[in-house]
Amino acid sequence: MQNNFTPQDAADLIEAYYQRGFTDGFPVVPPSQDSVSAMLAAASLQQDQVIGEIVTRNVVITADKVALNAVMAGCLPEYMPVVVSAVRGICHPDFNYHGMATSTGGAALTILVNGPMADRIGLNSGENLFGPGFRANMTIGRALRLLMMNSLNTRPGGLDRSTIGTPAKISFCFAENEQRSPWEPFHVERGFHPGESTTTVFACQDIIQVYNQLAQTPEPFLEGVADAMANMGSMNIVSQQNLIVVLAGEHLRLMTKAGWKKQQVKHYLFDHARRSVAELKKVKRIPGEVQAGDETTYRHVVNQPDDIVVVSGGGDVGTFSACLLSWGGSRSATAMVTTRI
Amino acid sequence: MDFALFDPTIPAQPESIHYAPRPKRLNNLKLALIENTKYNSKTILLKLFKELEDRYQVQLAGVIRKQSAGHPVTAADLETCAKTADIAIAGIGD
Repeated sequence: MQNNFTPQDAADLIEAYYQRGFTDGFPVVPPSQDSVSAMLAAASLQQDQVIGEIVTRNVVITADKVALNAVMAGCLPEYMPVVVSAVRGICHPDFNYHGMATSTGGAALTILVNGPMADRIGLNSGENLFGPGFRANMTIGRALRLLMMNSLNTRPGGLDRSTIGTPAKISFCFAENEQRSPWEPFHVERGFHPGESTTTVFACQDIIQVYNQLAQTPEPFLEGVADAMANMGSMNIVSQQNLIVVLAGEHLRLMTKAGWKKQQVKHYLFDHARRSVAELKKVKRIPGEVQAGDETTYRHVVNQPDDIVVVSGGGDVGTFSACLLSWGGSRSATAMVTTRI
Repeated sequence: MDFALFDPTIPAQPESIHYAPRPKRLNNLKLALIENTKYNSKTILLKLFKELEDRYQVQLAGVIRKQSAGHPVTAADLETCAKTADIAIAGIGD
């Protein structure tokens, strides 16, 4: 807690947080002792409890700071277990927080939520999946970004050196539409029970929508997805880390109608999302002059099919899906949502 | 009505760093290179080594490649570096 002061009105109090640089540019919800306590209680946490550590920043994240940022972001207390789970995710060494947060690449912190918790707190997994209008989605994503800025010193001009960045850096959280999917949810692929809830944090460099309204079979549509995955300007094409493909209703039905399994989709995308070494050398994405054999030697966007996360999400109607390409040096990390609710 | 202003910041924990003793001369020392995977990092480091080799007969003990530019050098690599080299140069490059 800082000093006490007497604001003239609510706007004056909000302005005080602006003055101290504790916002992302939007107004924050001024916390009170009661609202912070409610946030902690919802996740059964003590204020000084350690949630995780960013070793490369020498910073230990305690529950009270997570709760503060969650209140400031506009979260309801019942969102807190999801926020805490995502904080644990960004502390995983594979996620490489310092790299993704500081890089000129300007990646967005993406939070994918799986399991029953998503419905319980009203997380959107359908129409307008990445858009505004859903409190849980917007405020959980924002809570993480405020924590990054306020508590982990990831501020523009400081330890956030994004050349361009993306509006998704403000907030980017969505749930998999598990009810609509004919396949097992993503967290089950990662070894969790369907009744458990998880967050998966992912450093998203680019969001590319893929449009196809004429395909009657999976292959022509997936060619478009593979092309988006293998775009010559992406970090993914060189770093070969991981990525997320979100299949919306009509495209998902295309897969189901053809009897395709999720693994089949992954393998198809893995095989087709590639560039020849010659192509990559010609556009100077990899060094060197084109040599004999480069035209027929291929570099895939990822190292293996399971590096492609395929999830269901978005509206039932409309022939749009999406590719989320990753920032170069980060792997997604999944953590359980722990709750007594 | 009085309101409290809450501070959401977390100060980084200060850590004292002990520098290794600096050699007085570079002649015939063993050199480790730590490259960060970015383009030209290794190229620049090897050019530096060549220069040091020509001037001071420095020998190359090894090249350590980090997991990525954003990852720290692993403890195992640091141990190898300490065992096999007298001096090290870390390169960034891009």
